[in-house]
Formats: sequence, structure tokens, C-alpha cells
Amino acid sequence: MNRSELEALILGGDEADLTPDIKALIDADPQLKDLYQRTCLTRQLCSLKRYERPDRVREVRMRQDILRRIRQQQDEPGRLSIWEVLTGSTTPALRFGIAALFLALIGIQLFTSPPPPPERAVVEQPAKAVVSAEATPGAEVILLASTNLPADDRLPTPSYPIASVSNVEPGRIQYGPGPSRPVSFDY
Amino acid sequence: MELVRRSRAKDLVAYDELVGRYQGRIYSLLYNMTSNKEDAEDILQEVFVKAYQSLDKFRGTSSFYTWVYRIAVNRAINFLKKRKRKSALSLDDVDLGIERDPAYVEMTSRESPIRDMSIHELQRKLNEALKTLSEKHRTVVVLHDIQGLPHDEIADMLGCSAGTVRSRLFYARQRLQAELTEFMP
Repeated sequence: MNRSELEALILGGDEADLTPDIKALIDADPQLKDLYQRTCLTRQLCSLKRYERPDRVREVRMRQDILRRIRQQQDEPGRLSIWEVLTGSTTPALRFGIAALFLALIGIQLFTSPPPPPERAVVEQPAKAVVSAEATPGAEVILLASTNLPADDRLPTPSYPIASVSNVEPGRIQYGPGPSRPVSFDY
Repeated sequence: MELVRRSRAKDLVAYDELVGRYQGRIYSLLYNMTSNKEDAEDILQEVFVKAYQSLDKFRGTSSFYTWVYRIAVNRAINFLKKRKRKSALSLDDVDLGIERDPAYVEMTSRESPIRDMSIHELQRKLNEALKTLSEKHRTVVVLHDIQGLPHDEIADMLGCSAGTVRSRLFYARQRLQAELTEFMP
């Protein structure tokens, strides 16, 4: 056995590797003997780490914390996936059953429904006419009506008092400060 | 195995009993791997929670302790890999029984810097020296020289050959001797 092999045994092995023959070889070489003593001291120092221990109170607390965490995880229901929410089930067999049924229904629908018409006429909507009346100079009444105009085209909300309207006919109630005028709502 | 069987059936009293039996040794492993009691405590929790959740995967080919021990070693190695910067030492108290330990008695009886050094100072220097090792070298030192596991068991646990374990131990002890040179003869 050469020197490097003996060094490997000393540094990489343990006492059980060092048979009396090997020990004799180490003792005969001052450098190897020094290496052996240094290695023994290193191992002894490391072995002292066994005396580093948590105190009893901490040990008990650690044990309680472990159990507490397990209980917490047991109490919290697992987060359901979207698939589980949709199918309403967490059992794989049931989930696959529901999925198969769903696919079968889609298949039946595809094979039994009539083919779509070749072309569809586009029905154009008639443009809506907007009727507006020009305000008479000096008029004290503002005419308001519901509208389907876009929001930007609507009349701004006036800051002065609004009087509602009515067709003036004898015997009808008349609103507003001045006489009202006939209004057409035919649009 | 009865406790394991009951734990599988979600019997927390049985699992608490298992935790109580092995927590000390697993904590010791994690503490020596990290040199930080808070980190060791966090990983300890993770290990036992993970073990509880995975009890269905425990096939019983090894003892429950060996199985949990493996989980702990892997978690500790992953933790050390992920730990970007070295965290500060956070050490447990030293049991006063150290003063009666034959190795300590021998070291302090001869002319050596250890004789004039407080136990806490020795503890700090030892932990600082261990922290200079990479996680794979540190792991073999902890498992072999502190926890007392044989080479083949360590190899089995780490998924490498016994030769690799010896080689890592060779390098790690060499490095430790350089770090602890003030104590060397």
C-alpha cells in the first residue's frame, strides 16, 4: 500500500479501516502519523456537536407546532380546480363519466341537427329618423322627449327650470309658465 | 409499524407518538446541517408534515425512522442549495454533559488552545469551520462524523457510491483541518 492510498484511508475512512498492519505502516511514517492525529482530533471535535441540543421547552413546542400544522392542513379543504367546480365532483371516475356524457350529447347534437342554410340575407335596419323642431324665438318652454340618439348627441341638461309639455286642448291641464304648443311625437 | 398503520388512518395521536420518538434525532441532523436552530426548526416541521402527507407512499421496506431520515437529508440539502447567502449562526445551548465526554476531557487535559477556550467559543469556531464546506461535503461530515452513519448507509441515502462518500469525506476533513488549524497539534 503506497502513501496516497494510506492517506485516503486516514482521511476518507474510519477506525474500522485501520487494521493493525495498516496502523503499523502509519506509525512508521511521521507525516502519516501526524495526518492521522490531526484527523482523529477533527473527528473528536465534530463529535462534540452532539452536545448542542434544544432545551426541553423548545422541544415540546416544536412537537406541538408540527401537530398544529398538520391539523391546520387537514381542516383546510383543498382548493378545487375549475374542472371540479364545473363537474361538481372530485372523484375521478365520476368526473370522467360526466365528461363522456357531455361529449356524447355534443355528438348527438351534431349528427341530428339540420344543415345550416347556404346563405343568409342580411336584413338592413331602416335608419331612424330624427325629428327635431326649431325653437321659436322668445319661446319660454323647452321640449324634451326620450331619444335613442347616442349619448353625445343628446341635449345637455339645462341648468334652468324645466317645464313639461302637453297638447293644448280645452279642458286639459296646462303646465308651465306660458302657453304650450302642439308637439308631434310621430317618430 | 402499528403506529405507522394508525397514522395512515389519520390517527394524529399515533403520529404524535412517532414525532416524539424521532424528532430529537432528526432535529439534530438538520441543526448540524444548517448551524441555525430556526432554519432547523422550519425544516423539521416541513419534514414531518411531508412525511404525514406521504405515508401512503411508505412501503415499509425500511424503518419509518430511516424513511423520515432520508426525507430530512434531502430537504436539508435542497435548503442549503437554495440558501443564496450564508445565514448567521444561531446555535443551541451546549449540554453540560460535554464536560464529562472522554474526547473533551482528553482535549482539555493536554496543552492545547482548547483548554483555555470557553465551550461557547469552541462551539462557534467549530460551526464556522463547518459552514465553509459545500453542502455535499458538509452532508458527509454530519452523517459520518457527527451522526455516526457508516459509509455504505450514507451512500445509499445520497444515491452515490461508497467511494464517492469516502472521497467527499477526504476533502471535507482536509478542509476542516485547515480551518481548525489553531487546535491542531
